[in-house]
Amino acid sequence: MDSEHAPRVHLTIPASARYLRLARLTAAGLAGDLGYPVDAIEDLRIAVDELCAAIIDGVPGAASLELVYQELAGSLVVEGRCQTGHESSPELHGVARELLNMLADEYSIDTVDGARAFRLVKYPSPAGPSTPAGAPG
Amino acid sequence: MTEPRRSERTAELFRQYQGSGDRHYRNEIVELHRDVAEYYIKRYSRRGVPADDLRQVALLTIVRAVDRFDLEQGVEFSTFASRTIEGELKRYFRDKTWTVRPPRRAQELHLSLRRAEEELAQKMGRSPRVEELAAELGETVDHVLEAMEAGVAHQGASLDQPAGGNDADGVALADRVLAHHDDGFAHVDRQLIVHEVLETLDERDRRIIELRFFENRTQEEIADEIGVSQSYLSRILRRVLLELRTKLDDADFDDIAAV
Repeated sequence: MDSEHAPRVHLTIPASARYLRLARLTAAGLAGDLGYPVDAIEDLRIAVDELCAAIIDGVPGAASLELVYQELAGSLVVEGRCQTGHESSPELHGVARELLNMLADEYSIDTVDGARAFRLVKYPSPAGPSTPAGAPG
Repeated sequence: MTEPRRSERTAELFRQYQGSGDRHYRNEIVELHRDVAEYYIKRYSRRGVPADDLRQVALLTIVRAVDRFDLEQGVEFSTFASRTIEGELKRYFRDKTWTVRPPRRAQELHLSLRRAEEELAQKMGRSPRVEELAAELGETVDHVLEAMEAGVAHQGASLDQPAGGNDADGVALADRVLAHHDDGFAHVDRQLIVHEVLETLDERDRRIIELRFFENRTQEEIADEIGVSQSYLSRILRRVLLELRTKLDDADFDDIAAV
């Protein structure tokens, strides 16, 4: 699909662990539509969960987690952002890092313009996409 | 940390994690049980699979086990984790021996889900809630929701292909294997079950069944192709059919077993 015309799905949820199910299920649903195999969807689900949990860690209850899901060059890209109200950088626990190294094809987590943010790319198969997910489609 | 101390600490962490969903508690539970994973990794690493691969399987298994564990069951998490890790490692070895790896977990869960839903509905006199189904199955709510979504998406592709052999009218393989059609989920279930049971046979036995019942070849033709006598082939067929029947009985699909 041409990335210019690839649908973007926006999801905004309270920055609380109990709503992360919606983030996981949206990722799983979209990956299913893109024809991802079950194993890759399971990996994606866990990776989304870990990254979301990391950027909402310790933020005030009223904060929101904004997520954007998009297909780019055949791969699903998930971007998350949470305005924390303070400058602390998100930190990944060793277990989370191990999981992400295993399950995500590309990921980054950082503070951008005062907000914690992540970007996750999951290829449809271990062989990877035909073109890099960041490349124009 | 001593075992009683670990057990106490684990129970406390579970109470905190299940109450708050805070990932720090889960991570600590995982760290506390790394040695359980390492025990099984050592045990299975002599089978020609790199220990790092096994370690990844074990880590994922512990993480999932934490989310599925029910503190109220009175079982120690270390016991639950041990059984789950060993089961997953066995499954990993079994799956690696297949040419094509089916989405076994999703299939199994979808089938269990339907049975559990019917049982609970009968027991409670109403349609069960997702949380109740998850508790009944020992699964997470996410997995139950996904299995509900995925229920109609599983494939029985090889059974839907036109049969070869003498049928020129393209009768589907499933028609022969299943003897009759049921509409909807029941049909999909049976295709999946038959497909899955066939996958458990060794390569030669599976080939014989495919030739005889999917391609409609005669015993004589198959004996020639496999390189055995017809009487020996007949004995193999009887044994394999009995084996399949037992497995289908185990799967509680008596009508298929009777075919």
